[in-house]
Amino acid sequence: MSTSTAVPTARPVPISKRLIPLVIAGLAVVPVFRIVRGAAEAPARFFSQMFEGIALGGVYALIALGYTMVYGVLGLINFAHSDVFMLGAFAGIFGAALFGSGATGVVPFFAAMLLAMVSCAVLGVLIERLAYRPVRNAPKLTPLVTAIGVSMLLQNLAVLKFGSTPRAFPPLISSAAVHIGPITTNLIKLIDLGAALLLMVLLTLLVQRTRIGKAMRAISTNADAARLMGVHTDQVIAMTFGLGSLLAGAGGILFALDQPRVEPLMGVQPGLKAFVAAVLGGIGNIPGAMVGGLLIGLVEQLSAAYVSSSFAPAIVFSILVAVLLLRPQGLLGRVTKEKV
Amino acid sequence: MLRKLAWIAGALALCIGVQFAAGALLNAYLIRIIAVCTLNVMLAVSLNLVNGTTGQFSIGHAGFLAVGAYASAITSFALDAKIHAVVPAFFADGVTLVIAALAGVLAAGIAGVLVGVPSLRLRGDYLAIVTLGFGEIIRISIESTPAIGGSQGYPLGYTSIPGYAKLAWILGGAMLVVALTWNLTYSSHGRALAAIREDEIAAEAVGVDTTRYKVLAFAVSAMLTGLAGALYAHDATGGQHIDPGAFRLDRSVDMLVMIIFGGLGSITGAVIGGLFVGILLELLKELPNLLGGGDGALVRMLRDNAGNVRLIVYALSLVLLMLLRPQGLLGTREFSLKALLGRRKKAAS
Repeated sequence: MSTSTAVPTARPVPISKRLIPLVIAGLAVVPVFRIVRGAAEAPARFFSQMFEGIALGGVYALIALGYTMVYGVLGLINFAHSDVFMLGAFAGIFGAALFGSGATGVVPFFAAMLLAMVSCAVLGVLIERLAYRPVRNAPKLTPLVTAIGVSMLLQNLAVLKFGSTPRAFPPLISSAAVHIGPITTNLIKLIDLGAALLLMVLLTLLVQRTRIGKAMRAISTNADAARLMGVHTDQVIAMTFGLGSLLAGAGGILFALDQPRVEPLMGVQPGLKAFVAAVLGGIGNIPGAMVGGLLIGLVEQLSAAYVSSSFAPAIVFSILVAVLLLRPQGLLGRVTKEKV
Repeated sequence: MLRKLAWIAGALALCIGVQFAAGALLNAYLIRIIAVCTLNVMLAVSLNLVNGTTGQFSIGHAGFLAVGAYASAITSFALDAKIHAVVPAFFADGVTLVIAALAGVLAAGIAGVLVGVPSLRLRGDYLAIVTLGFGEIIRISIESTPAIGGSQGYPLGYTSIPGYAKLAWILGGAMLVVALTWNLTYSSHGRALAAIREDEIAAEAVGVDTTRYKVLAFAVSAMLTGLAGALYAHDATGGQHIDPGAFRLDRSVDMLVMIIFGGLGSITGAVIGGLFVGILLELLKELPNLLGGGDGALVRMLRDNAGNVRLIVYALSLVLLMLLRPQGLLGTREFSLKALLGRRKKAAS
């Protein structure tokens, strides 16, 4: 069958777009080679590093979920989220201190966890009510700047209240080595990963199986239509902030167990990486944040171990840039067709 | 043509005049504040070109600032003695500064194109996060390169960057930046940029080469930021030492705050925003003294935590501004002599 001659030719792919994958592949050669060589030389160490990376990634995923959920319902990058995470770690210190100084074990751990999660959830709801709700219908940049302001405010209030010298997080869980098959790790990392996975499963159930989860998904799809269908948007948005902040509080404890330096600026770097994770997975997409978090943790750990520890954060950001250039909507994000 | 020359001559005279007047009338502290505020203005105006005029969203401009500062500092360090050996002493400092600044501008421009080209596929928040990523990559790369001082900063040891950028140079740089962006924004190219901001698809449909213009905006903005970086590195009133800690995300956020304070998309707003933020931060430093000496609990608390309280007030005023006047101080309006005179006439008649 002969086609007509009037078929419009597709626009040629610009050279820059064709070059991008090549450039990315070229830049990735050396780090990938080093990781593979390291893995071949000492497989046991490689598996341990991978496990630690996934455990760290679990914590990033918990923080990333807060970013992505808020973005899902409001389209807002909640810059203050990383500071909620930081305050979670501080709340953990006080929670553990309720059992006397030097307390260790499961009970103080759960107390710390509970206090952190509850206080962060309350804080998240408060922030939404006081700072974000009044500007919800303003142009997009306004809430963003408000978020930056709230973040600065929380950081500096924390400096004022707690001082800027790092505090040691109490060693609630023993950090003695644990062997599982070829993997050498410790109880803290196991608990980090276990708790992160458990919370992620619970969140998925909540979002997929409950009325409030359905309401969240409805608002995320179309806020106006959801309101017309009788969804109490204000309540659901507040709930989303509470839930995201709760996860950040838990993440704060898990992070501080592993890296027990608690200070007002401790949230900045993990928060940035978690945000990168959320974008990597496709912002607004809950499974995407989980995948992105695990991936970022893994990449960071492996590049710190095999490439360069000072350069590891830069590699994390390079992965982000590379993924977004190849898949602008993120790994699991949906392509939204732009309508005219 | 004659008018242009008159403008240039006036600007030059103003720079030199301010330099001498400041030297004679003001103390070092005030001169320092003027220099800091002027550098702020340069940063705000150049960022406004991308975020305000073109409607793209960059929170990675601290990276361009770092590239400009480092490239210029390294250049002036390498060439200082050689230039002083060749050029008559009276001009040597200036010539070195200009060459160093050109190196900074060029390096930042290249960085701007490198960031701009791949960023074209991305919109809105994704673009923002990629610029943030690039900014962090630049900073971390500097931090982990011992040859340029790593996290210790540049230059190493007891040497410092020559402080050739006297107040006149910084003022001149700021005027240059404002003049360039003004002419760009209110030219046909500027209208193309504004069209991209208003509706990218519509702009493309009416024949605006959106790709080219977005890269152009990024490159020009990065170059101007690089110029600010060069002057910052050589600022005679500053530390004459640059370290990667000065180019963190906070720096980009500060720039963003300036243009939003002033009103996004207005050059006048960016100028005012830069001045406002600079002066506000300085005034807040003096907060305990402004509240009167005294020794009450509040004043003592403020004095002990001056740096901290300053940032709290800054953050609070940012949130309040957003809640009360989200369009910034000026909105998108520009300062215009004609409008000002016109309004007077109307009021008089």
